[in-house]
Amino acid sequence: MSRILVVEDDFAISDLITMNLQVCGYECDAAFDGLQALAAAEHTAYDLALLDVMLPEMDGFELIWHMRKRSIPVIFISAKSDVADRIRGLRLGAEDYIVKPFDILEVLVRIEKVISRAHPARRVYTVHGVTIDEENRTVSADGAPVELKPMEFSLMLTLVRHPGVVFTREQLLSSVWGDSFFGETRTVDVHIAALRKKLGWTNVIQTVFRIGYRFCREEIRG
Amino acid sequence: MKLWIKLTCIVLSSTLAALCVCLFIFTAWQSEQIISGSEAQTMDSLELFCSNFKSLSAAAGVSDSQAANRSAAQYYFAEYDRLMGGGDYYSLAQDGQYLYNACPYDPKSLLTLPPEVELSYETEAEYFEQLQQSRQSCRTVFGTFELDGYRIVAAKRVRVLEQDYAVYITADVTAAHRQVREIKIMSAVMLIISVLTALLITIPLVRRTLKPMESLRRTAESIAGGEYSLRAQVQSGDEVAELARSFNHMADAVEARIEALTEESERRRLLLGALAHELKTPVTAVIGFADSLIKMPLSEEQKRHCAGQILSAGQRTERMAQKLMLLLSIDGGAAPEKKPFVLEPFAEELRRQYGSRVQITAAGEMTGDRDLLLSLTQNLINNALNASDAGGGVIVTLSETEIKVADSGRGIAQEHINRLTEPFYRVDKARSRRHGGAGLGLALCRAIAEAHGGRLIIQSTPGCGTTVTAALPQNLQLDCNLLTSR
Repeated sequence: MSRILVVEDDFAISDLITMNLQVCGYECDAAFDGLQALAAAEHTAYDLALLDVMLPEMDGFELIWHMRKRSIPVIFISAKSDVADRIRGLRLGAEDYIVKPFDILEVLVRIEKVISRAHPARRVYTVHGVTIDEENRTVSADGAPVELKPMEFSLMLTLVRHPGVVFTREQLLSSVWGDSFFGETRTVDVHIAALRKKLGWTNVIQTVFRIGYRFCREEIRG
Repeated sequence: MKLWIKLTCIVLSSTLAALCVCLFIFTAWQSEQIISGSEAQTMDSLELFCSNFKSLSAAAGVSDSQAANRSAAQYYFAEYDRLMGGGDYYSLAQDGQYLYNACPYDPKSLLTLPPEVELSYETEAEYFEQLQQSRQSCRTVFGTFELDGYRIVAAKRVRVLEQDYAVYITADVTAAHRQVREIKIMSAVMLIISVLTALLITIPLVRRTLKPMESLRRTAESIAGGEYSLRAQVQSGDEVAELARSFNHMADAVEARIEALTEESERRRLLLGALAHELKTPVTAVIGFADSLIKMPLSEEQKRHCAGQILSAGQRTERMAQKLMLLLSIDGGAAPEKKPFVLEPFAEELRRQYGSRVQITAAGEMTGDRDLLLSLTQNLINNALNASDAGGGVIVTLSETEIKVADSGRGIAQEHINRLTEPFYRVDKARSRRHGGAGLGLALCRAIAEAHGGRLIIQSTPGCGTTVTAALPQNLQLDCNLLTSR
């Protein structure tokens, strides 16, 4: 499983991020200032570092240089919402820039994307009787191949990768179709219905009243 | 109408009026001089002519025959007139008949006024009597007439060779009249030239005099436009300069007020900015944990943890709000209620709260707001405890004039000390938050100390510890305040 370094000087925020990452199955280390982060990166090969910009001892914009030297991808999480800061952060080589207060699911999805971009490992696994080949983008249910449209496949991946997590329709829409897609949330309902039907996941993909959808937890076999 | 035009008009009209009067008097007097001069000259000529005519005729001797005498007179008159020559005509008449008249006019009838009236006379004596009556001239009878030029006609009775004659002179005074006309034209020209000259001098002078007004106006407009540091130039000692001076006083007052307001609003703006920033952190935590509770598949223990974090973030915000409100109320000028209180029970309260890590010595009594001073002392002790690692002691000394809190902790670098009392200023952001500080403690302490007429003195050596002293003068003035407030 991926290892993530969380550099955040505020205890509560740090705690919030680590807790959620652990729930999603990541291994996490927390650092509370720039020097601690540097020391941690020295010893461990992290798959990703989440950096606050304003940090004691050494700020995020300086820290990213050390991270990049060790080829650790970086996502900034900062209260500084100026466009200038965001541009600076991204120019310095950050994979993403998230402004506080953030939506925890947004953070998780963005982390997901960065990690899968950095480690395009071949992954084939079976969950709830459905075998998924991420690289070839094929699915088979009980040995029989199932035809999924590209968007259905992406939607399924988002859900399967975060078992137990409740996604709103808007979040699914933006994570699968992209931020620039101004579709209706009904599109999501239609695709979910298709997935349930094709994969026999009527109870596996649960509707959470008034919020969205959740993929039921099951042990993932790699 | 512009002021300069008004002033110019006033100056010009008064100059014009004065000049008109002067020129009128001058012209009238000068004309009178010239006219009467020419009249006098004519009279003199007539007088001279008559006397010479008389003496010339006398040489002929009186004859018995009246006709001979008349012929002689006629002869001598004509001779003498030819001799005299010149531009004046002389005529000789007797009993209404011309004996000699070289002049193209009829002086006799010219002199008769009104000309229609026929004078009836037998002798020259009667003629002159009637003429003088009609002309009301006592000495010589004369009149001025406009013929081909200006002519003066004068008549004189002369007795030559025992007979009365009337001698007329018809003198040309056109030159004198032309002179008078020239004087009048000259006066008018002078009037116009004077007005033009006055205009040329007055306009620039008036404008120059009013120039400070114009610059004052421009300055006022610039100040209204936001350049509050501009001042009007005070050059002369006139009314405009006085106005400029008063104006500058006003501008000074306005600038000072605006500076104060700007400073105040800048301070408030910084405070608000810092507050917004400080609020963002706990709010982020609250939103994040609540969001996790809703959306993430958390265990029971994790759910409790989330709730705990939300609670502590809420408490942190609440603490901050309370301190901020206290700070604003003290800063806003609400004077603390000052009463004397004994320090020993005050110290006892603190001892109960902090236990053995804080050593407190107290003596005497202090005058001030007990609750505020307690809050001040608590804040200082909390800071001192946070700065000291476990085991480090804090020494508190309470006396009549000061509250002193000393620790032997980390100390503070010199560059931070001046900014320490700014709201939300933190030397070590992470550490301070971990202790649950709102970043308002020292700002509050300073506000309390200043509300008591004192100040906060921070002395520190990095690595050796920090001593914060709230010096509270218990002076007479304070006692006076106390008396009046009672």
